[in-house]
Amino acid sequence: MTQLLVLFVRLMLRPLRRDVLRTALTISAVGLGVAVVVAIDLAGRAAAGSFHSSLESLAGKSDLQLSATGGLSQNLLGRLARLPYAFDFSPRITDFAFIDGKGEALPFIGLDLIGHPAKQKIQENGLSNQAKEIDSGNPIWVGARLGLHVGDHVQLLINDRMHTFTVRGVLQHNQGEIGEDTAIVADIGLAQQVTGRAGKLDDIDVTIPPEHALAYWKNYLREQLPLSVSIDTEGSRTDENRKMLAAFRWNLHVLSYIALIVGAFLIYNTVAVSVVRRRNEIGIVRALGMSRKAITLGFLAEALFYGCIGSALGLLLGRVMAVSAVQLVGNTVQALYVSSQPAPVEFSITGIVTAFVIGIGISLFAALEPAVEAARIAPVEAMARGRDEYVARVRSRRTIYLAVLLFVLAAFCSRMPAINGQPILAYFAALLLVAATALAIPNVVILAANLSDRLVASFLGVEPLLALRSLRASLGRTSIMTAALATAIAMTASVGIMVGSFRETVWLWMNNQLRADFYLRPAGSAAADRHPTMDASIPDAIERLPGVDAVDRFRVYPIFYQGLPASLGGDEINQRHVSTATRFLPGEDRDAILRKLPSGNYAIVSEPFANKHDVHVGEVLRLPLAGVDRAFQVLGIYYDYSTERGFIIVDRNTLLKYLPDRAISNLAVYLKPNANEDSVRRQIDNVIAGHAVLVFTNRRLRSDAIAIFDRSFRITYALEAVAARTGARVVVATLPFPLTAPEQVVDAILDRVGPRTRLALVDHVTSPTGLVLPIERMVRELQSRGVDVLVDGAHAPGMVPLDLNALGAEYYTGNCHKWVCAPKGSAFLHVRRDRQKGVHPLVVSHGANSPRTDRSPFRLEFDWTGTADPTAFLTVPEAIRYMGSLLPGGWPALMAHNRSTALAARDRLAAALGVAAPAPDSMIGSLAALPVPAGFFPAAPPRTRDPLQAALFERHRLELPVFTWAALSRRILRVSAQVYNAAADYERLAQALGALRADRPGPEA
Amino acid sequence: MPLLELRNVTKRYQTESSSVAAVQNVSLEIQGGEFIALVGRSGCGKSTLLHLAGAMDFPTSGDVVLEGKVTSRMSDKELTKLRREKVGFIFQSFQLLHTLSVVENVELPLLLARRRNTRAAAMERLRWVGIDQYAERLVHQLSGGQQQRVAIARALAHAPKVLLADEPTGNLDTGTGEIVLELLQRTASDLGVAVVMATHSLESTAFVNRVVYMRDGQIEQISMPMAAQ
Repeated sequence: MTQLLVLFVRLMLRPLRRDVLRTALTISAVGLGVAVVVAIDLAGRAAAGSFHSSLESLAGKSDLQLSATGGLSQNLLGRLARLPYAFDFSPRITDFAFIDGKGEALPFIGLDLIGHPAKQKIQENGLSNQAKEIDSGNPIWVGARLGLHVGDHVQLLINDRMHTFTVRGVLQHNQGEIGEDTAIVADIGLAQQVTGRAGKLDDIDVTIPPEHALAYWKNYLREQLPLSVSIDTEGSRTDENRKMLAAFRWNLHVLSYIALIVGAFLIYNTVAVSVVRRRNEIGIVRALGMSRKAITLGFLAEALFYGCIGSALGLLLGRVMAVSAVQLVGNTVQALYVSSQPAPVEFSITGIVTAFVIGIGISLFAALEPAVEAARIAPVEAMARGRDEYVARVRSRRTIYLAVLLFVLAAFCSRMPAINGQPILAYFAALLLVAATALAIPNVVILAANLSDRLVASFLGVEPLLALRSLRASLGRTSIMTAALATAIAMTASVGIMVGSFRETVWLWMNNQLRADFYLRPAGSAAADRHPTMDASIPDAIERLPGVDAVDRFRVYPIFYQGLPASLGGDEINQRHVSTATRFLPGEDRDAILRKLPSGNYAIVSEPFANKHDVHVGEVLRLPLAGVDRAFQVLGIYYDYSTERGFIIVDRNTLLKYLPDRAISNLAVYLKPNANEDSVRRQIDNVIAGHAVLVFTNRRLRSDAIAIFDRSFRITYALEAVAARTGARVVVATLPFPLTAPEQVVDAILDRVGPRTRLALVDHVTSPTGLVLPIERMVRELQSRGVDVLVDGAHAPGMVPLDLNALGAEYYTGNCHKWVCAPKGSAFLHVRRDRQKGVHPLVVSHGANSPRTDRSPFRLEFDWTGTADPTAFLTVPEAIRYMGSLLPGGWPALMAHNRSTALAARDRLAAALGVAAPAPDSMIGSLAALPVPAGFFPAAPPRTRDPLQAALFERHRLELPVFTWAALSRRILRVSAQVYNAAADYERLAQALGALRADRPGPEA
Repeated sequence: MPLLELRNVTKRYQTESSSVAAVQNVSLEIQGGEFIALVGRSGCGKSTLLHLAGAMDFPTSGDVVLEGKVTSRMSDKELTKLRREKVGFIFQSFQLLHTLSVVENVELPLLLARRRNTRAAAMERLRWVGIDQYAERLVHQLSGGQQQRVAIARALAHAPKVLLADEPTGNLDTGTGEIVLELLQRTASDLGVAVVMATHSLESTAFVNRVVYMRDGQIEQISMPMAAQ
């Protein structure tokens, strides 16, 4: 045994040191493959952690759960209490809340804290259960992760209203209970009040008496309760949600295996190259008496070595990647499936073992063929290179037939139906396709080499010809490398095409569907199963506004249909607008369907719903609504890509008959053809004052929808990146000028952000138009879309307050020679610490390999490059001190002075030019730019001296920029205001403009 | 009974279009302690005959008998064991492993044979070929002659019965070549090992007991060397 170990170390491990790069690459390939699989698994698990688990633990153990679409009547509780058995009933309200109206949606749970076992949980957390405490001051109990303390007052947005609560206790997180650490618990009475569900309950948990089994009591309750009340086993809905997520997670898993396949190819290549390079050595040790088995085991042990180290690295990397992945997967789950609170990312023993099994398994599998090939080497063959390649060439003729067979088999498998809902045979078809390609490639390589031989020799000379021959001579390896590359590119292209085509479809669908001018919804994020509501008075008031043509009220209820989650919508079918928007499956008469829909118990269903439940036109759906089972006939099946759960749409008035809650989830507003959009927008803002309701313009809603889509699919883009890196392309967003609100800038920039946008270069203060942009918001919005931001703050330092850490942009660069008045050449580049590693100076100087550790490598590289003269930089502190000493209030006073001077100058000059202020006051710093009206003074083409500027200087000795800004097709005059400027300066300019206007040269005679 | 016997041995190689006989109907008997040279032009079949004699390759027909056992009927496993215990090889280009030190190269056959005290045994062989002072050096730090002496030490490390040498002096100058030939001569005379050497150099034959002249895969003539006559 010892001898074998010595041999393994000397013959297998030691040579790896000769090829450190290849060894590192192979280990990192296994590591990356394992990391992606581990990360996707951990993230999938964490993202699927539903808050229902926390309800189960908070509400205490129960056996059955009662619920109904639109809620249960509270009177039901009294009826249940009169049953002659020792049941225990625990009523519940479940909703979502947002702290200060922002951030993630937190489960808001109303429990009966006075009369029920739920209070035990509160007691266990060391808190009093005194009834008087529960009755006073809107008390809530909060999960530990929220970081709140007893006595804190907290504002919670629930639906469209903000409410103030007092934290009465903090729920301690118990091991193994998911989501509880972010839950907010209130007494049920308070929860009913703040969620607008007086007299309603969302669920009732039932604990059964011990004398009979669960099935008995379920049947008993079934007889006692109306059919519309669903009776489910506790936790079964969580299970149903998890089942629904299973397919999604399975798909992610399969995608993550692509990374493993690429890793496997690298292992194969490394071991195969190792065998070829060490063929001679293998021959020697075979001649010295090493058995074939020992040779095979030796190479497999080498692969085991790669597998073990790669898996260990992959586990660590996967843990890190999972934290980001959980956010991405969570977004997709929320957008398409179900509200869930991501559970913490945690390793399990099974997870660790699985990672090692996968990493080692794939390494051994990939190395098996070359290891067996190595064992076949006879001692005499060691000295005869090239023979194996000759064999491969002879065999390649036969493999083409096998490749064709596999292609045909793959085509056959890809057309087979799913097995248990899983496209197992389709995955198998993909594997067959990879195998067929690998087999076909030697022939393709030979064919390509034969075709190019003559061309290469004629045009490129002997060296490329030798390279080509060498490729052909090592056919086996060349083929495998070609196959690996082909697989990686094919996978990348197919994922890209799939997502791209789906995105295109969504975009077309939105163009069709989104026809209204404004859309309103309650603040706080919505999800596939989370539809906050807004007050019914809002649409009524908006409908009466003079510029509004029509409104479309929409209410959504999350329901369960045949045990699967779905959405039930009540829509106000507005013939004039909706009829053109909704598209039905081919052959269905849209107008007839929409005319008939409001006339009775009719429904239309979305295509995903129809497919999932095998529903056809003319069939009847039985929907349990507020205590009664109602039948709706399906009139049509329409296209809808908004949720995977599927929609049932009925007429709003029909639905109100059964669920008389007039609150709405969304509102679409259509304007009259000649209405002024801005004016109606202001009127809508007045209507919604006091409600937390968001208003979206049509264009903004489209871009937001696409942003959600892109966020959902970012996880697939991340996987794509594992296979191949993408190039960069510059996209330019043109900012409007003049403009009325900073939001226009944000919209203009976000409109140009796509799924492939990686970096946005934005101005803090624009130069030609002198606008202070809403940089904090832009950075936040761009970062939330996964885009790094480089802020060009050339004008900002000294003009506006600047806190780089608070802003948090990845990169910020600014000048000190403008508003700090330091010499030219003094400027700064600020790179956030986590991005410093990727940024290097253009000139590499001695700092690059400095052994110093007292300063960051970034500073060492940048601080002293070559023989740059630091004089200008050294004056900056003095310039800051000096400028700050000019006014008694220091820098804040200086900036305020300059701004008020600039604003006054702008107003005076606007009057002189006869134009309106082109931007809101909030966007003005120390610069003011004004559009020069057409015909005010003769103009000149861009980039030539403007005649107005020349006249101002030559006739009035005033120097200021006047230029034509090609991007905006505008002629602009710009003034600056520094501490040495006074109102008199601008008055002089205004008068000069007036004089020039008066004696401008007339048209030539 | 001869230690090594070749009986009507033929070896053919198959190419895409034809079959070529590298060795044809060769019979030869070699005793322990005997030093034999196979002489002939390049391609005459001497290296192939050496590989067949050392059980590194199978004959197409005929038998190779080592210590009374027919190697051409042995399984691959048995052949491996045979090479590990009974046969030693020396190659023209030394065929040492460059990632191992001198002594580690010599230890290799001992480790493969699962022997104990491999380091001491390897050092003993290095002393025998007079190169123990370089034991810890890497192979490429030695001259050609020194490397071939390491190869001889490695070939003798596990005390084989037969030592097969393929052009052992092909890469060496005359002086160094003679040192190596003397070592091979001592191996046969002092250790009783049957040494078979393939060479195209007639000068080398001065050190051997018998010279086998080969031509086109067949034995043309067997004679005593000039020095012995």
